[in-house]
Amino acid sequence: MPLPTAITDFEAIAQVLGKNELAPVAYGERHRALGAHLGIDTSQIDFAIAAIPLCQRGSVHSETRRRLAKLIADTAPAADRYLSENVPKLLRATLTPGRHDVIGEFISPCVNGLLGVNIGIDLTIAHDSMVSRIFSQSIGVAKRKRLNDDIGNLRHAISAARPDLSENAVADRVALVILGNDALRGTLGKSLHAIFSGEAKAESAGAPPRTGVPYIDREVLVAQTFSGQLHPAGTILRATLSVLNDADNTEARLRFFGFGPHTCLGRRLSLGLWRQIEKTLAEVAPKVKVVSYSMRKDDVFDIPETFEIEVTP
Amino acid sequence: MTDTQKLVIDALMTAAERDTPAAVLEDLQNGKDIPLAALELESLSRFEVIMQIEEALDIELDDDEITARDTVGGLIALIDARRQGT
Repeated sequence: MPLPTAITDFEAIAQVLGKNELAPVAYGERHRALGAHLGIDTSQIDFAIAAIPLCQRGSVHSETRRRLAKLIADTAPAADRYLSENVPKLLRATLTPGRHDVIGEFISPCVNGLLGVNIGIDLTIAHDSMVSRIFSQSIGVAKRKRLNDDIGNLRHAISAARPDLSENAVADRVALVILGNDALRGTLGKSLHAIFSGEAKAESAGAPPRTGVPYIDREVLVAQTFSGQLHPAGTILRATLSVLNDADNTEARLRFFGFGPHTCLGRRLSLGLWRQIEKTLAEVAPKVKVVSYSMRKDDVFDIPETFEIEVTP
Repeated sequence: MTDTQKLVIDALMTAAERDTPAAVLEDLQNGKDIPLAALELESLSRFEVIMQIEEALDIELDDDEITARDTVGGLIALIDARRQGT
């Protein structure tokens, strides 16, 4: 794959994410080619990729996107209920005086709970699960095998809990978890860290102050000009969303979720979740000190590996 | 030659046969600390190297960890560190 060209200008990012002439990167082909070459099983990865809109082009992209959008819309009332009933409770418990593991006590239960409501099963995805790393271009062979196993386990958990579902419906739910899991964990972790460490204001006006999705790659199908520069067909353009971190206004930070035909399907859920967090932080006004924080080695998501806080009365 | 050196060079030799000029292969075989770029490994060949090392040592190794190393010696140092759990 050619090295990506970074796009960091706000307006050019909007154009890159909104244009139909730019296609998602062919993630699936790379997994398949490697699997065939090395003789490793990628069948579960292939199963998931077929249902992920971000991995598809043309009419297949539209169809997979429509199916996922319907799944999210159908479960939106239950998801809203989950968020309003559980997020304040989980966050308040994590903000009681003492030392807390933010990932274990808040982020994991919150993300598992929300995605579980969306897919209609009790979901337990470990923080170090490989499922969302399906988009990685750099993981080695052992991690690819774990990725295939983790997706297979998720698929079987959904099938076992919901024997009424068709294979397509199971695939849609696997895809939703893959798309949501690390993106949500990363965005929550980075944003809460920014607030607790004083880098961002707690009153972030309806949009998280940081994103866990630092970039989105698009392939140029027909030569395009952005910011006065010509990009020939085959170029990979990297819309660098992380430059929007720290943006003062909410409108700019809403660009974390992209534009046009590729707008993040989880935007409404993410913002609903963030509103509950903001509201709870405003009510509790906690005195928090970050005592440990480290990031996972990851070429796709910005996601904390450890995150502990000390809360004082 | 240490175990790690032998393992890394064997893995690179196996994968490099298709992609690498003969003179560079000879230097590699003789244990010279040559630039990894000189091996001209294709992406799929690099993953063969990764798989061979991972399976031999029961470790995990990412493609970007290999491409971030300048030389064969740098790759051997990385694998040694990984074996020691650092």
